[in-house]
Amino acid sequence: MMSPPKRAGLLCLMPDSLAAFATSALDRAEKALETAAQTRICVAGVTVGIAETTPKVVHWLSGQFDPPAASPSARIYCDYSGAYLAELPALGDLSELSPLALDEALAQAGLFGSFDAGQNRWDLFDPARNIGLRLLPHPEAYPEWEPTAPLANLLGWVMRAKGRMVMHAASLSLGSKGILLAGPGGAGKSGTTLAGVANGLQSVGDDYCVVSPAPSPVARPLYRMMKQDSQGLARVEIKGVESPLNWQGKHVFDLREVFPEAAVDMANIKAILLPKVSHLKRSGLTPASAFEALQALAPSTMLQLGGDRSATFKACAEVVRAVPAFHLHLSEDPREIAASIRDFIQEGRS
Amino acid sequence: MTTSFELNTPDVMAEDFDADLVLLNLRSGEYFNVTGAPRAFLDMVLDGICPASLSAQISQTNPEAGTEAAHYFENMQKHTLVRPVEGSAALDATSTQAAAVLAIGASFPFECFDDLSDLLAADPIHDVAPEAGWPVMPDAG
Repeated sequence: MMSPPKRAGLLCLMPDSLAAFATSALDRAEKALETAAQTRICVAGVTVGIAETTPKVVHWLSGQFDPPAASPSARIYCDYSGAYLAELPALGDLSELSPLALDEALAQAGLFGSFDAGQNRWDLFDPARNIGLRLLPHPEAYPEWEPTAPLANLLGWVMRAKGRMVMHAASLSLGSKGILLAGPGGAGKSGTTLAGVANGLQSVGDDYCVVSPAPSPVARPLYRMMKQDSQGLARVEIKGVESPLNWQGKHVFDLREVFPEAAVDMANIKAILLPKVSHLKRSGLTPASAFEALQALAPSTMLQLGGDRSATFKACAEVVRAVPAFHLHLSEDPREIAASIRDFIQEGRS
Repeated sequence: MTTSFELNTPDVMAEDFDADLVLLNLRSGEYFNVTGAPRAFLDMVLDGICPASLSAQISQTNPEAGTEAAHYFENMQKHTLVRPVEGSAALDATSTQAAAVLAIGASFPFECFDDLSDLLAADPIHDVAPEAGWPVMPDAG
């Protein structure tokens, strides 16, 4: 009979070892960034310098972000050589490492991190130094969603270090006033956003937004890409989007190319709408409780963005506390949906 | 002496929205909406009122509600949302306090959501098999 694995030592050492590994890896990244060529991008007003051992994400990033106006206040190093990962076996079997345990271990060193055991992918960030590190075992080991949402965790932590929060929400706006659309995947966020931008409204994003919670919520774009399946595009009568399908079978396109006037840089958030596909003749709004709004916003944001999840929960709560929330019962007519949201943004709800 | 209770921070986070109190148990990933009569009941307990005494006072007027309130608080303990405060005696509840809870409602639904649980599950620090240690889970055989 085999003896049970002797892991008691690992149990005691693991959090310290993880923190030491992450700190050491970030030290190396900081040194590498001193000489590595960096591509600069400007995300929600923050300039980020990015260096890669093999050019990969910069191709996806450079098209999505504005040209930088300042020198980088945060830097990200992406290593696909496996050199850093060679140190990992000393940490033992990490296949069952939970996100919470990783959060707690890295918090000892003041770091954020995310780990994908299946692909041996790491994202690490030091908010004190504003340095991020992406580790992949090889250049093709990036996640399926990476071309649409490059470096999501790392950019989220860069924003957090600046007092902003990446939230899993879409937005629609008119002028300076806007709303967030929150809910789990399939709730209708992207379809509602597309209906809006195809009918005269504006947006800072159809999946993620960078939100400054205080003193009143302001949303800015994280990415400029939108995604929608062929049926959804046909529903709003968009033709000519010939992009290849992404991992979800959706077309991915740049909002600025298809609806140039709809791509805006910020929106003052006046409400949170929770869309629901309801097949009504006319869209309708009914009040939602703070809990329902938080439930629509926080869990999916916490699931998608790693790191200090208690801070994410708190920031989502802060936004929910600041603005009213409504259920948005959707009709089947994109024009009518857009008109209803336009009326709501312009006049509020009586 | 019956001890008073407090929220089990920092494992449990609380966000107060007036009508709703949302609790997130970071350890389990479960989150909870405490609203209506349960909110009034919990507020009093966190102010130092004995939960058993408050349930008993509610039962004087509405036995079914009193049983529900007691069961609600048992659930809160089971989900480690609250913990006793060592050395702090709880106060007996009054009929006025029970009436204040019942004025809000007589129903005590325990609203627990676990769609975040997978995210935070398999905590290697606390959920290990005693002999084998992490990453062998207690029920892994």
